[in-house]
Amino acid sequence: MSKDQVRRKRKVVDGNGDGTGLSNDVIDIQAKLDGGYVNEVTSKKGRNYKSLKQLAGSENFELLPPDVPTYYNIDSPPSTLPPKKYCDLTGFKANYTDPKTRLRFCSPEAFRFLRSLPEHRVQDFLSLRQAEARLK
Amino acid sequence: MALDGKGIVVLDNGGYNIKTGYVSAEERSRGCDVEGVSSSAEVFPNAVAKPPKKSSSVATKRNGGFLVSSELYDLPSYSGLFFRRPIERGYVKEWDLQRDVWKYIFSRSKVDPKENCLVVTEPIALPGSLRRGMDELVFEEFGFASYYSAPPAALVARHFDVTDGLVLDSGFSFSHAVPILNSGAQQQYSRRLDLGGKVLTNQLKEVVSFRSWNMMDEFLVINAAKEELCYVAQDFLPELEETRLPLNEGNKTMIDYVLPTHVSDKENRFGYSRPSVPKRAKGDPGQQEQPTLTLNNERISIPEALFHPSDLGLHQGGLHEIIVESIAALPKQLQGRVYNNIVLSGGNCKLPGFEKRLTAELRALAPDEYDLALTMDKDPELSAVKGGIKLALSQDLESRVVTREEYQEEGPRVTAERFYGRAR
Repeated sequence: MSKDQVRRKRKVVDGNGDGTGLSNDVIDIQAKLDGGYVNEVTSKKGRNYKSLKQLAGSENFELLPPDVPTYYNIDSPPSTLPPKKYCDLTGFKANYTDPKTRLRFCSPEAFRFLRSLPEHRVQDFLSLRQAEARLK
Repeated sequence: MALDGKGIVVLDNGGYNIKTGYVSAEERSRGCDVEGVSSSAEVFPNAVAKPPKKSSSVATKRNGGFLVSSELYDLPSYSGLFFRRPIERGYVKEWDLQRDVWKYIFSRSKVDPKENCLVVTEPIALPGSLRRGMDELVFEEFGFASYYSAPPAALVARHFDVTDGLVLDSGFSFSHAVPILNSGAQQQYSRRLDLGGKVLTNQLKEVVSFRSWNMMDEFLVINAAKEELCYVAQDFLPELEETRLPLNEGNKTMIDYVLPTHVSDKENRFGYSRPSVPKRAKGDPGQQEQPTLTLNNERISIPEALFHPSDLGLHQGGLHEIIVESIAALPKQLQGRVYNNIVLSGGNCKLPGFEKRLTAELRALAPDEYDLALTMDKDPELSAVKGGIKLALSQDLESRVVTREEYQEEGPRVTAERFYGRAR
């Protein structure tokens, strides 16, 4: 349905007055639905969606009493168990950490390989466990 | 009465799959048996996907080349698909996409929203703006006659007839531990772990791409490989050590996953597994090699992240820790009963060995005077929708739904009050 048609339909609805008991917006959306498949997937003028962080941030959770469950206070707390260390290259248990690159490794072969890596590849490997150097 | 003569659509709106069931007015009045109706539950992907440009496939010009929900199963190859999902991190973010997917589902199952009631799942502790989005989608876009929204955990509890217990719902986007008291989900004692099947599949995808083939564009193939081959180790470190052994010296974990070829081959779009064979020398004039992915310690180290999220750099406690944390917040005299009534649901519970390992981990953390009992359905992914169907067949639904007229009269306040017991 073209924009013009939607606009015309809206005008007609407005002209009819409020005989249906529905608000104009509802009728408008229904008209849009009845008028065929309006493709929202690729429509260029999509609505801008807020990220979850923005959404949760705009809810004023801090004003609520502490016993009301919110997105933030049902978060799982940090683990009480010690983190385990695995080789970044092979996935086996790692007993060693390379002081230069901060990569963990399990064997001399892995060590030889990681020392041959260029810096950006090292960062790629570190990013697998979210430990890459971040610019803030 | 609000539900007289109306059918009921049950929709478990998951991040990866939407699980649907339908209870007709006739089945309600006849008092059908729950199992019979539940067997008609259907599963649809909750996504739209666009095949890569170069593929000369069935992709239509309609919807700008996007295939909605299960239309994507008609593709000859799943390689390089570009996905858009309405649900992001477990919360519906793109309402227009969600509407498109629902519209597709309702037209496929020949359901007319205006003549039916909807039972839908929404995650717990939902921000108010998202809840109002659901009201608008249900009443203003689809015009359902009435609807009821509940957290999946509440429906799972209904499916298992749990009055006091705990539901662990570990799905695609995240995992929740939700205590149930007097048959109601206790949101204030719940805990959320931001780790689900999506993270696991993505981690497997990345690890495999580092170690062998580049699979970064092959979400569906890697997801199928994960579902088929990953399992939960009972004793992780010794089993990990075992995977260091070569194939002929007792390594039982190593396995080959044969990847789909890019030639259109309808039988093998996901790939399949076969026992690993020792590597032949290069240039061996054997039979033609298919591209295979050799999975070894990834098979156990990927699901291990459910119990140790710190492996992925996520600073949260594992599944067993959120259960214990959430039960510890309950009044002391109830804790024993709740430990004795733990129900598992969600797709991650399908990993082989999951239930046994979780029992062992919980036993180590829970106070030893409490008995532990874990229950799981044959298909834990469908527990919530089956609970929804059970609710639809019972008389309890009548008083819980909000009708379109009520909504138009009073606005979003009425749904907030009736579903969540508070005005916000």
